[in-house]
Amino acid sequence: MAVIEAIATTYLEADVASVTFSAIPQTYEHLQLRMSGKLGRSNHEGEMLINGVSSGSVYSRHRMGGSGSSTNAWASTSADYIVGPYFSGTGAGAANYAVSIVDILDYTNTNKNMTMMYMTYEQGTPNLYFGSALWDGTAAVTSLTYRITPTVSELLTRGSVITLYGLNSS
Amino acid sequence: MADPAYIVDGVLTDGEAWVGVATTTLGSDTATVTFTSTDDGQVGDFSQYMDLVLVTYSRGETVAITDGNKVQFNNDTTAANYPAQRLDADGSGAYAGTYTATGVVVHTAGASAAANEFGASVQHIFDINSGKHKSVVGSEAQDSNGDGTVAIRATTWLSQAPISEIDIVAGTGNLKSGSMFSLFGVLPRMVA
Repeated sequence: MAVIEAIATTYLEADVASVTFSAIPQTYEHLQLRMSGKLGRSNHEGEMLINGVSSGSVYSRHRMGGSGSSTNAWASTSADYIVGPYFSGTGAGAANYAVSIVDILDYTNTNKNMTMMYMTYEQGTPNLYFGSALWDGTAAVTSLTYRITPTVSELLTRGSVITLYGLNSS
Repeated sequence: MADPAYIVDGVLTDGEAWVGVATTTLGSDTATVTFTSTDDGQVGDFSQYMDLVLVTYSRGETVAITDGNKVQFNNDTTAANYPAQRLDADGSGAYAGTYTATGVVVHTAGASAAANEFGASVQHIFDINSGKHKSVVGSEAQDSNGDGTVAIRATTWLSQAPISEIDIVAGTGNLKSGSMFSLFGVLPRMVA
């Protein structure tokens, strides 16, 4: 088996509300998402769900960042979705898409809560973030959803692309 | 023309996602290292990849603890085309800032670092064949036993052209002998 395999690429030919990788094979040690994305609204945003879970206050989040000459840090707990990694908003400029790398480790282990980490760069703004999220669940990760918040009417923008990779040590 | 081993009749055979494109280890001091797309459908052809990953482990000639290589795309040396955001730390504090330079800045060990010290970095170059402005996100470490920096850094190359050439240019003078540069291609996998 290859050390790093591409599981699936989703390229948005049209605007959509969410992207889901489902039935994720349980045959890897770790997962990685690589993303290049943009939203149809002015501000940056993006939410992730593990196994479609969007209730129960099961997520917590941390982030540090640099924006211009300012450093920043942020955290929150008991949330119903993961904030970050981010897609850029329309304010970033037409050709500027945010890029992210997301690492999800030991995702098949049913004795661990899932901790993921990400790095996002939003062109144009610019914002550079290194962040993490905890899912307070122990089920194996079988699906990953990236979406714009359902409370707004805008969509993930055409041209955005997300690829899910599986990693093995041998 | 034969396909690469991981493609049979136009189909990826094993989903292997990272392809080793090329590695250069300098046997003598050299001003510039270049990786050029072979445009032949083989592993060196950049047009098949979603992303590129550049790994550097290098040392420069600038008289300082830390030196800064520049990574340039398609021979573009215009500083205004490489706006960047950094977030770094030197042991005394954490800092952020924006800047432009004549390429993607990659910190490495300078001439004042102790002998045999090299700086490490991994640079992720996203969606290289798209019509988007290209983003580079990198992490780097240059530790010199009480001096040096760690950083995450992001740069936009303000071009919508596909990337077909990458030049790694010394901050001043030459990249030192022993410096190592590896380029990987990251494949997508389009599934129904």
